Amino acid sequence: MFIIVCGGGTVGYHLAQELLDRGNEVVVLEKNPVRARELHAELGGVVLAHDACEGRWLGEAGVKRAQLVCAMTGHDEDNLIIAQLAMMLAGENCRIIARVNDPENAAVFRTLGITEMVSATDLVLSMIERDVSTGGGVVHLMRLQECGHELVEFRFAPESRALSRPLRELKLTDHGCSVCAVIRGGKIIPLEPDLELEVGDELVALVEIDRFDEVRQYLIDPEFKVEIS
Amino acid sequence: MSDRSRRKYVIVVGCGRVGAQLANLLDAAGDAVVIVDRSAGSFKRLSPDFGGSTMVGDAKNSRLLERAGIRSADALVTATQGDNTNIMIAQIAQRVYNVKQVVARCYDPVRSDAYAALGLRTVCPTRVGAQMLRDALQDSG
Repeated sequence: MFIIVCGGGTVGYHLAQELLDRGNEVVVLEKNPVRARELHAELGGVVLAHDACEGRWLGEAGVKRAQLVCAMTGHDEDNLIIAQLAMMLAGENCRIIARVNDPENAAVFRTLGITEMVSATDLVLSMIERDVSTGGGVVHLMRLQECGHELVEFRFAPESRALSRPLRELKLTDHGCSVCAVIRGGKIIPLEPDLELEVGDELVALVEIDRFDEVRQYLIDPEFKVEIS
Repeated sequence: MSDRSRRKYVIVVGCGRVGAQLANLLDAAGDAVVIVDRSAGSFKRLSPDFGGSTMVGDAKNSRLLERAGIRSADALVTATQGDNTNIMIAQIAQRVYNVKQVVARCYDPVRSDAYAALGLRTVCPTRVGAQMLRDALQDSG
């Protein structure tokens, strides 16, 4: 895969290194010339000492044929502009991932057209959320952009409406949610229509990205009113 | 009172030389101006007669924008030192808060054009400045 990594800080450097190790073709754009020289010494001839926020350098880096552009700087305003410029300049099938440093900016990014984001803060939060054994939680495992789904793990609070009802009654597929596995006590248990979810169960499912909030509310929020036929 | 209600409510982001000058001009022309900057020291650039209000903080933050009254603002102008910051805040004003008039300063002509094509009003001082200098040269020749 041909990948452009924008921003050669700690995140960008390690990402580029990993991607190169896996046999990808990688170009790193790092605007600080001193840092760019360091990266060049470590990674080899794949570093351009230019500002990815300037459209011409994204062009120079080969954005037109890139299959993935990662905006990984430590500044959200820069990542936003890089991702938006990449959307304008890259080919149709190019995937664009932006790092969000301030989790509050995630909603802004989404409004401004950025669909794929990573936030270290959110990742840590989701792990903490997961460790709160009494509460319900959600962990985003993987995004399958092309088919518009993401792989999500749900954990249930005792008051969740999803508990103590057979799976078939929940009609999860009607909510854009296909169950892949239910994990109970560290073991995957067989998916049967009569299976009833229990507190502490982990449900791994493919969820339509556009309907994630609906599914989350349906499964997790005790307040959410659902019609169960 | 009716006159007061017709005053235009403008948020200026960035109190550098340009932002401060703009805030002074708008204030003198009778607009209600709020100027935001990350550093309180920047407000010394405002005229002693400046009658608008000042607010310290990062205008990328929605809570700050809301405290600055963005929901009732008629216009927002970004004039910080960073093109990307200006573009980001301007887009938030335009697309999250539906502010009617939004203008972003953008030094980089390429980025300025790219965002203008996306429907953001940008002003590129690099281009305007170069044109003015060229005109001045021609005039003095």
